[in-house]
Amino acid sequence: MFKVTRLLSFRPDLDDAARDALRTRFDAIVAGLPHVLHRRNRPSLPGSVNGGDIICHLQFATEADHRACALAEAWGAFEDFCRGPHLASAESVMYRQGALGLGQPGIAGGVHRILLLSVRPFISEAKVIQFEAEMREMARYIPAIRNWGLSRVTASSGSRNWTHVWEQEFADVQGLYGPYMMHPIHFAHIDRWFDTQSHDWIVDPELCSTCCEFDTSAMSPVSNASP
Amino acid sequence: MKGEETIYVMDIITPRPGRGEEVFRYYVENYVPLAQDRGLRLQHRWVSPPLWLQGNHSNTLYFVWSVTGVGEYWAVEAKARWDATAPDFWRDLEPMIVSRSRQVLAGEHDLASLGDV
Repeated sequence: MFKVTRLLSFRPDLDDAARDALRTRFDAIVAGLPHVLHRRNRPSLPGSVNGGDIICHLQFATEADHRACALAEAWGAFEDFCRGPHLASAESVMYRQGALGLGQPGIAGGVHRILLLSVRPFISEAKVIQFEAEMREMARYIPAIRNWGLSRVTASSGSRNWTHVWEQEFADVQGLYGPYMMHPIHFAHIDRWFDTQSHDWIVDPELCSTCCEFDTSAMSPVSNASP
Repeated sequence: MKGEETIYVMDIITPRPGRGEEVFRYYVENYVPLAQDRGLRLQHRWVSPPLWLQGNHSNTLYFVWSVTGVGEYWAVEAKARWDATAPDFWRDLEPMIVSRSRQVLAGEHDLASLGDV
């Protein structure tokens, strides 16, 4: 599985009508992209941090399928929109699906949370591997995480050189802001990697934390529904 | 009671040999006011062993802070996380110490409440 995620933020001076028109235009562009196995193009939910107004998440069966898509004329329109003057910022990551945990692959509806993070330069590979291993363990302690994925980014652009994508699916947004944020495995153990005062601090404090509603899982490898 | 658990944050610092008192003073004068401004409450300032070691021997310093409930913990952390100068103290401390760690703890009696999310 190969994935592309874009977090797009409109210019703040655009009014609701302009935003709606842009969303409609972008929906049509995304719907026209070929070779896409699963596409999700949704507004971000309140509470997101640097999360954009639109979350666009594309899945391809293989990296070759993504390359084929990128050669299509429709991809040019997609890139043009993502670089357009109507946007204040665009965060972009491409990645092969990394570690995956499927506690409820058939989940019907819920909230897809995406965290883009950047491990600081000159952090040892051993530290990064330990960090990744501990992140993968979170779902063991927090059942509200129904499905999850942790991936290393192969290419990115935007405000940081994003290195990882940490995705989770919850039954509802309460799973994210309740059990996920408040569990001791998070604040008292995992968070030290993000804590600028910890001896184990490795993650740049500038993050993109965003979420959107979904109808079918984006984490399941058999997923082929839309959106 | 939920939301009223005492959460402790403990800095464990091993100064370079013979520099225990210097590091202790440096922490108290430079870090304690910053942390208090962010909402941490200093509960203990411990030195082991309880004298300033000389020569090639290192003391270990324990600074124990507290907050009440996970909400307050995140509020304090957020203030530090969005303060770009927060890492400066720890960077400046590095040449004076052998090692350090920060641990987050709670009393055993609060584990059930904290895990009830």
